[in-house]
Amino acid sequence: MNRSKSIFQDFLPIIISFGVGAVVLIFVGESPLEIYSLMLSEGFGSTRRIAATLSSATPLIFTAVATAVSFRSGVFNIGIEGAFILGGLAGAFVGFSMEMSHIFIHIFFCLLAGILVGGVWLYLPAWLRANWKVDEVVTTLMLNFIAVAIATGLVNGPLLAKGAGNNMTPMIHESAELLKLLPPSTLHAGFLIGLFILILYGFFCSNSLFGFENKMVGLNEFFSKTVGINTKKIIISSMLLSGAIGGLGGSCHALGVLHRYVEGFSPGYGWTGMAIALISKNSAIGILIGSILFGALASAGTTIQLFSDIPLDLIDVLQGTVMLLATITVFKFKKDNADR
Amino acid sequence: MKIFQGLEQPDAGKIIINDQPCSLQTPSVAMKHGIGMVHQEFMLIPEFSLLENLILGNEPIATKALGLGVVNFENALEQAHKLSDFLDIKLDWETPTIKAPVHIRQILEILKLLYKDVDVLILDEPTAVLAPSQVDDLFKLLRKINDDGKTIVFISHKLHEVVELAHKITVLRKGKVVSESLKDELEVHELATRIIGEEIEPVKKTSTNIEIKTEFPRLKVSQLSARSDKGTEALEGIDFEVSPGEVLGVAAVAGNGQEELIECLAGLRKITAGSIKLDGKEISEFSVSERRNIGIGYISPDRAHEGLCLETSLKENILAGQHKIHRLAPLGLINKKNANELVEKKLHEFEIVHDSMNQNARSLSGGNQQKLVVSRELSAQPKMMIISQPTRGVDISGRNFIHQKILDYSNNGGAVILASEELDELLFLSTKIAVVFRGIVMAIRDPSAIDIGQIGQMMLGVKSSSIA
Repeated sequence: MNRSKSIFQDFLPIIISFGVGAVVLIFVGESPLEIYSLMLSEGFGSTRRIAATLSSATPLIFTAVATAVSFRSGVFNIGIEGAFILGGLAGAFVGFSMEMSHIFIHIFFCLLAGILVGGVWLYLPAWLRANWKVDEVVTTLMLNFIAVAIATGLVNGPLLAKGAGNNMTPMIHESAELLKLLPPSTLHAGFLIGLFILILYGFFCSNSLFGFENKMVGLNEFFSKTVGINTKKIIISSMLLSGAIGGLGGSCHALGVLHRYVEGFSPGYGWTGMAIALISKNSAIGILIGSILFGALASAGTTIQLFSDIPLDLIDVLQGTVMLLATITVFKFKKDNADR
Repeated sequence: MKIFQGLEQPDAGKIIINDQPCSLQTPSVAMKHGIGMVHQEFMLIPEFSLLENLILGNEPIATKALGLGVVNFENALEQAHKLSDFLDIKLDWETPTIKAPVHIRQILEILKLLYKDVDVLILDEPTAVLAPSQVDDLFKLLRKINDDGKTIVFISHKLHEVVELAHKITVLRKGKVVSESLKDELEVHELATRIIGEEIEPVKKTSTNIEIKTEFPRLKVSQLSARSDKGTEALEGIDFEVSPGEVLGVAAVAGNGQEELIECLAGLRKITAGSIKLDGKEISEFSVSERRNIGIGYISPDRAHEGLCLETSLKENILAGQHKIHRLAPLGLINKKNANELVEKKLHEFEIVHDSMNQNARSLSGGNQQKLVVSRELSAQPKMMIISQPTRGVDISGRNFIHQKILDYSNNGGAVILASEELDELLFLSTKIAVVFRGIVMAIRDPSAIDIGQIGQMMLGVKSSSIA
């Protein structure tokens, strides 16, 4: 009974945000019930719609898991957006610049590039946090802007595709494209990779030594130190792992959906992933549900304007409210940590 | 003292100033009644000049326009000079406070109160940051202020300072007035006994006293020095040895370096000089984890933060620190069945009253929490234990349990370093006692050859040679 109550509490922000959305809908003269049922059918109504939802959920699974790994260790790393962008750029770069005959080998190297770039990207804030206690919120937030600037600079210059109007890299080779699972939908093999990562994450939390130490450091750094856990090592490795997963998510997105890196590569996947990680309190199942829910919102949002007068902005209202409520959890999280 | 300053309200009783009962609701009300306090920590704005800090809150105002005043700095400087001339001290009032030496800042704090024209000055450990010659200067200043008819309440744990300065001495212990007397009536020795408490007969214990012959002492600390968190010298040239079966008690007034000593031994603080040897092997560069692996157990004085992780289950609290044992976690994965069995066994062994191993550690009573910490550390069968404040906030039965555990451990050949603020606990458990004062070992004595008053005096800095 307690458990169901706590799950209800976890999803309270989502329920409230739908309430807020309903109020907005009533103000613009629409029936919330009608619109929400339309959204439901657009999100989950047919195989194709479900495929679209899962496709939208894919990058979120990565960013949410990535965020959760460092949140668990008490590190408030909000730099996943940057890791995702640079991982995507790295994946796309290996995808178009190198030619490899074997599809798996090529994909493997593209994903590896994403993992490495994402991990390395967060090494600096991780080191600063572990050794000098530099606030990771500030450093990782700033690094996001730097990541966007680096990526934009590169696709405007050295990596710009010939004859392209937009700022984008050339298309990746076919050998680097991730398999489409249900054509014509954009659902691709990256979703399966994401699920695999999520399962690994669940295992990491419940069974692994690293996961145990990671959790203990997050709960109480002093205690962890006294019982002989190398807290610096745990903080750095958690953040590297977090960045690597974010980078992997970015490269999967590049290889599976866009087949290149385009400016505006991430419409805030890192931030949505963070909201999901917060709402789900870092639980693997919660992340799965949350990612699918936000994926459904995104995919239903794009088609719903075709069938109603409701603009896409409604989805922003819903997401914004969830983010706002999730932020409350954030501050509680930071405060609890500061109290120690 | 916070009550006199109006920061806190008394639960009962009243304050009488000049035969008038009054209630001091806020610091400004207290100030109006002429009571001001100098805190142990400086309350100065570092970027301001000495003058600006002096007048802050009571600025002389030149002109008033639109409800805004313009500070009359000339007038302020004049008053400041009057103050410093009167007290015969030389100050450059324009110096930024941050550049002024510590004793000048301390004097400035006192001048601030005089500027506000208080009658009663409360000084909380004003000499804590001062060098001896500066202390003399401060005392001269205080006597001058006193001669001017001001009352001074001087709070200190340094006995000789109190005796030197005060006319009247009040001893407080655990929130109660223990004695009130004129200075001339008191001997330092008597004062020390009053501060520490009644002389307590050490409880006799049965010890098996196993003679264990070893080539090296279990732990040998030589010439160990370390800094405090503030960067000041906390420990200087500490030497001692502990053999198997011995309990070395560390007696000191809080803040004299015993916390740092314990942290150095546990691996939580870097040493700046000297060596720590376990069984003849240098371990001062070892991490906490490495020290655990070679058999050093640690009981932290801070149960709520370091001893336990109150936010999580009993199970995880017991596993932590033992989670790397191969049987529990081969290949980096935790074997849940083995882990649960171990936890169930330990909880039973530790006699901890609990409902389930998954309940939060916070839900245990303080005594049970500490029992958990002590048992967890001892059950790893370490070669030696570093123990600090083992029974702080623990009920009698928990206390006996913990004392018994420590005695059993040392009787079976375990070596123990024990720091405690409870002197009777130290006397009861220790086979020898090291008294630490200002980061230096004053003496190492056999507890049966020394009484609590003598320990108390040494803790307060009286040289052991001068104690008969």
